[in-house]
Amino acid sequence: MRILIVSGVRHARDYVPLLRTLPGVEVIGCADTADSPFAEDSAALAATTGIPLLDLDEGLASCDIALVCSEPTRHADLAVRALEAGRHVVVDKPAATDTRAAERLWDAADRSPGLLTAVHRLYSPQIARARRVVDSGAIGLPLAVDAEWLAAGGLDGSTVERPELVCDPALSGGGELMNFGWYPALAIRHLTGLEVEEVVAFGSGAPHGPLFDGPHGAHGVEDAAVLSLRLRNGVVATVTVARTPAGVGPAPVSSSLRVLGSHGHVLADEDAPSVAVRGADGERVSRQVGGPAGLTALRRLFTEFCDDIRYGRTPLVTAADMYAAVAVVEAGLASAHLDGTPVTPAARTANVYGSGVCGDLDAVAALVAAVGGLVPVVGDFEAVAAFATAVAGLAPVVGDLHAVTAFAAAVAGLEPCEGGAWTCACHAFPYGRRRAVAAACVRQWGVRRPRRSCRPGRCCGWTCASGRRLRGRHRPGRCCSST
Amino acid sequence: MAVIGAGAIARDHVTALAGVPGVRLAHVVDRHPERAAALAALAEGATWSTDPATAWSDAVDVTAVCTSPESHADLSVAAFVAGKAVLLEKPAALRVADADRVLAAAKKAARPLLVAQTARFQPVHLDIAQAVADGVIGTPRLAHLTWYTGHVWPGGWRGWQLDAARSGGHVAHNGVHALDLLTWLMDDEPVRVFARPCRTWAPGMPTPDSFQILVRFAGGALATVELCYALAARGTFVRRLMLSGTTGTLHHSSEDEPRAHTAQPVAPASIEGAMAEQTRHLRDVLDGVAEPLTAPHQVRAALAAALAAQLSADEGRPVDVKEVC
Repeated sequence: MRILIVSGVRHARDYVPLLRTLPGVEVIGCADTADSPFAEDSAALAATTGIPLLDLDEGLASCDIALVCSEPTRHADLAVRALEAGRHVVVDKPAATDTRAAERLWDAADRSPGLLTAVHRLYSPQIARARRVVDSGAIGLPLAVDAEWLAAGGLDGSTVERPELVCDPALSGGGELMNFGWYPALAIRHLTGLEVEEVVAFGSGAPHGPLFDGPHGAHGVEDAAVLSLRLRNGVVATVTVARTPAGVGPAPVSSSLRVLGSHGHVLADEDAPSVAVRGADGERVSRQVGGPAGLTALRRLFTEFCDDIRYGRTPLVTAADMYAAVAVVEAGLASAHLDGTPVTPAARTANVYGSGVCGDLDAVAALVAAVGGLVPVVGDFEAVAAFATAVAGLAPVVGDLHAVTAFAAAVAGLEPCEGGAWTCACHAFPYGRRRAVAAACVRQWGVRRPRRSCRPGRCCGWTCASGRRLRGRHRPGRCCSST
Repeated sequence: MAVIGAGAIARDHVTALAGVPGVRLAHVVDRHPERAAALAALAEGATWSTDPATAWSDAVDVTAVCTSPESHADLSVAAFVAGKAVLLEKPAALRVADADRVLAAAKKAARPLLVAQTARFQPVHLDIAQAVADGVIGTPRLAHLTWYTGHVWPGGWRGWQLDAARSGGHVAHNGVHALDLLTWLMDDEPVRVFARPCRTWAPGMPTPDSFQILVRFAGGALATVELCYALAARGTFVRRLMLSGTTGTLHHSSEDEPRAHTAQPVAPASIEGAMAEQTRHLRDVLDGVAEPLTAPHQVRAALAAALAAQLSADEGRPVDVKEVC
C-alpha cells in the first residue's frame, strides 16, 4: 500500500516511522495544498524523514491511501479532496471540527470508491477487550460508561508540535475537548452501540479560566471538560478530558474506561497490564505488556485498514461513526459554552432542508404543533419562543426573534448561513434570521423523529408549552407525560 | 454517647465505639422499643428509651443522631440546646436553612458538631488529604471520583432510602459523601452542579440507585463524580480517585490493591476501618484536643451542593448551588 501524507502538520512525524515498520506499506511522500498555511511543516517532515515532497494532485494520483495530517480545521476538506480523487483515506483525529464538515466528509465517502476511516484508539488492546466482554454478554446489558482521557503536558513540543495546534480555535476547532473528546466519544459508541441523545458539559473555556497554567486561556479554549451523556435506552456516560501538568500513568496520554452492566462490570486501563521494573538506582519503570497501547492501536489501525481495502471490508470506524463523535464533541462545546445547558447532538437526516418547512415561521409553528402535538403553538414568535423556553428550560428566552434565534444558536449550536446551510456557532452567532430558527426547530424537535408522535397517555418526551397544568408536575424542560 | 435512631448505621457506630477507649455507649433511643433494646444490649450498662429527650439527658456528653434524614435538624438542635456535643449522620439536613439552624445552635451552645462524613476517614482519603496539604500536587484543579459498590438497601421497598421525602433522594443523601470529600480535598465550594440519575435495579424506583454529578467549584475547578450501587456482587467495591493539581496528579484505584476474593466480599484496605477512625476523632474532639474535621462552612457547602445535585437530577438541568441556599 502506497501512503501519501497529506499535509504534515500534526502527528505525521510519529506516523511516518510507524508506517515504515509495517510490511507491505510504503510512504511515498508528503504533499499539501498550494495555499497551505503550513507548507513549511510538510517540507520539514520530508526533510527529517527523507520522504519526497510532492505536488498534491501528483501525490494523490500515485497513492493508494491518503493520510490527512493537517491542522484539525482542514482535516475534512483535505479528506474530501482525497476521496474525490478516488483515494482511500485515513484522516487524523478529530476527523472534523463540526458536524457540517463531518457531513461533507460523509457525503464524499458515500460518493467515492475509496474507503474512509479516521485515527482512533478502538484497537487499543484494553478497549478491544472491553468490547469483547460486552459482546459476550458477560456483564449483561451495558448501563453506564465512565471514560477519562488525560494528556500529560506535551505542549512543550514533545507530543504536540506547537501549542496553537490544540489551542487556537482557527487551527484546532476548540481546546482539549475538541482535541481529545473524539476518543471517548468513539469508545462509548463502540462499547454501547448507542446514539447519544443529550450532552451536558462544564468546561474551562471562556468565560471561565483554564484549570492549569497552559496557553489555553490566551485563546479562550478549554484545557479541561467534564461531560454527562444520555444515550438511548436510558444508558448514561461520563467523560472527563483534560491536559494536566502530570498524567495518571507513564504514557503521554492516560485513558481508562469503566463499563457497568446489568450483570457485571468491566474496567479498561490503557496503561495496564504492566510489569514494574525497579533498578538498583531506585528508579522505577513501568513496562506495558504488549508495548504502549497507543502504538499498538495505531499499528493495528493501519494494518486493518489495508486489509479493509484488500478484502472489501467496512472499516471499524466509518463516516457515520465520525459524524456521531464530532456531534458529541460539538454538543459538549455548545453545552460548556452555556455552562451546562443540555444540548442534543446533531443527527443526520435525509433531505430535511428540501421539505419546505424551514423557510418561514408559520411552517415551523405548524411543524412544532404537528410533531410535538402542542396545539396552541401558532405562527408567531411569542409562541415559538415560549415553546423554546418550555422545551429547553432556557429562562431568558423571551418573545422576540432576537431571543429565539439566540436560542436556536445556543441549543442547537447553529448559526445561519446563506442558502439554508448552517454552521456551528459555539463562539458567536448573528441574530435575527428566521431560517436558522426554522432549521434549529426542525433539527431539534422533530423531522428526524417523525414517529415520535404524541398519543394520549403516552409520554411524548416533550414538555407542553400551553401553560395548561396536566398530569403530574409541570416544569419547563420536563416531560409532562401528556399530549 | 447516646444514640438516637437504632438502624443499621447506629449499629456500625456502636460497633466502632467498642473498639475506642474513652467513649462508650450509654443510651439508645428508638421509636421501636425492641430495636432500641436490641442495640443497647450490645454495650454493657447501656439503657434504652423511646423518648427522644432522653438522648440529651444529663448522663450524656454526645448525642449521635442516626435517624433518617428528615428528623436530623430538629433532633440536633434539641441536643445542642441541652448543651450536648452532636455526632450527626449525613446528610446534615434536607434543606440548607435547616443545616443553618443546626450550625447556629452548635455555635450558640459552643459545643462541637461532627457530621459523619465517614468517607473522609477512609485511610486512602486521609492520606490523599495529607498529600494535598503537603503540596504534593500543588493546587487541586480537576477531580474524577468513581465509587462503585454492590449494595441494595435493606428493607425492600420499605427502605427509607427509597423515599425521597425522608432521605432527600439518593443524590442528596449519598451524593453528599462524594461532594463533601471533594469540598474538603479541593478546599473549595461547589457553585454549579449537574446530576444525571441511572436506575439500574428497577425502572420504577422513586430514587435512583446510581448517578453521576458534574461539579464546578467557586475557584473554577471541575469534577466528575460517578456513584453506583449496582455492582453485581453485594459487598464488592471499585474505588478510584484521580486528583490533578497545578504541579502533579494523584491517583488511587482499588483495583491496584492486594484484594481478598472470597465468598463473603471483604472491603479494600484503602477504605477499611473508617468508622473506628471517625470515632477516635470524635473522642479527640470531645477531649478538646482536635477540631471537628467537618468544618461548619464545609458542612453547609457539601449539603447545599448535594441538594442542588438532587434538584438537578430531578429536573434534568444544571443548577447553581445558590438556588437551594
